[in-house]
Amino acid sequence: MTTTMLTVLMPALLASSQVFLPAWNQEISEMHRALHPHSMGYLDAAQFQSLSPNDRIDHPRLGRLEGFTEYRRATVVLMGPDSSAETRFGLEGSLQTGGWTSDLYIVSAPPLHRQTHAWSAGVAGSSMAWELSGVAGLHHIAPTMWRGLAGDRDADGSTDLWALVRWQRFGARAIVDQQGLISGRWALLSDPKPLRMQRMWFWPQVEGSLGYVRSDANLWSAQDALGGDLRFPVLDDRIALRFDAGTDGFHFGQVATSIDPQGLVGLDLTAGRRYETWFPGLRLRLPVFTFSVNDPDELAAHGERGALVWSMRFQMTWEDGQTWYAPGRRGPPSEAFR
Amino acid sequence: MKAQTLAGAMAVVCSLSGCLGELYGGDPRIQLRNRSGGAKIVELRLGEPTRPAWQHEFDPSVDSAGLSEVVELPAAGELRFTARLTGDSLDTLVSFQRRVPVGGFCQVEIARDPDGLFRAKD
Repeated sequence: MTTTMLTVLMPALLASSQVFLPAWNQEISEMHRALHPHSMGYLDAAQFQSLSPNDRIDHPRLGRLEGFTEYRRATVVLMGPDSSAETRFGLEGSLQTGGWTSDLYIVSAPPLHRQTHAWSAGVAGSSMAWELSGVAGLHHIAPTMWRGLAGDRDADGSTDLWALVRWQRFGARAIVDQQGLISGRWALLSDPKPLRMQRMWFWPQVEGSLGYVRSDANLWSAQDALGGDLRFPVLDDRIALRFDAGTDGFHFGQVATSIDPQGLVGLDLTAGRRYETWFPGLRLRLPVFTFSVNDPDELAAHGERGALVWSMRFQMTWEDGQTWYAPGRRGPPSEAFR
Repeated sequence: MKAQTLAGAMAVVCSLSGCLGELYGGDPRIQLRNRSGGAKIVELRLGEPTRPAWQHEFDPSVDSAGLSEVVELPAAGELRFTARLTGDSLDTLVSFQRRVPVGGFCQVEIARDPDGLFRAKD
């Protein structure tokens, strides 16, 4: 099924340039939420695109163009197949592409693009005995090129190193390049054990992080900033609140509702502020799929200021062949947790 | 999670993708009206006049007082156009800038001023 889904998304992998670093920063935070010592892997296949045209793209020869921006990626972490091993190793791989397009599309691509590709490769490891897991890798963003009408180079590429580590519920992650620290965070991550097995609902669901982000990877403003976020439940496993803010101001507040104990199906409502512009956001969560308009996770990755953004995402972590769930959610109590 | 649930969710994804594909956009289009008083419009260029990034040749060329075919443009926005006009002992370029929005249509008239200069007018 996973292969089928990738077959649908991957052929049209085309789409943004300067959004790549913020988007990768965001992907690492998602990976951090998803992976724990018991997880067998992580998969994220996503596309984000603007629905309303913007006219901020200067073409070196044609003039100021009006169009849409897109960003698509597929990221996979695969751990060793022996789920009973005390220590496991795995591999990480990611392909990202994005850019500017002259027309809105989902399935087929219009001919003109300002396009960038990026990739990441890394290694992962986990120790059940130590309750420790981590991933580290290299991320490379290729130069941005105009394709189709004129093949001019538009922006240089960059390379960064990244790593994330988790011990029990505590974690840290960082991205660095030759200029120094791009992003660094300390995090309290959610407990992946099924809630009904733990007989408590508040503390296992509390998540938060504190850290620094450099301006070129900042999702919310063009400033170097210290920031933090906090997620906590307010009604058992059904309603949770989330706040995100930094020294560059308030980022967003979100109400996440779920109709099932695992948080597989639900609706998230957001009010956020990005580049001085307020936006409402809506995200529909289905099992391992999300559909959203202006959701902060996807809106931020997109890199647009004030544009309407649509996203579709297939995202999951898995513990075995029968236990899959999206990051931050959990398997049902009936499914054995080793 | 059951495979059937996943299959159902995928069906929703594919349906939504199909609907959204046609939601917005479309190629921008332009049409030229020849009011040059004798010259023919033979070509429309996009980008730099002498080093165009894209060009469309009118076949047949647009006669004086004629209306060109509707041309689909490869990009939308504030674009730099150039029309090439030919005639008896005449081969000249008329450059103009127009905003053509995504999915939009723009009609431009190439006219000759009393002072003999060619100009683009809306």
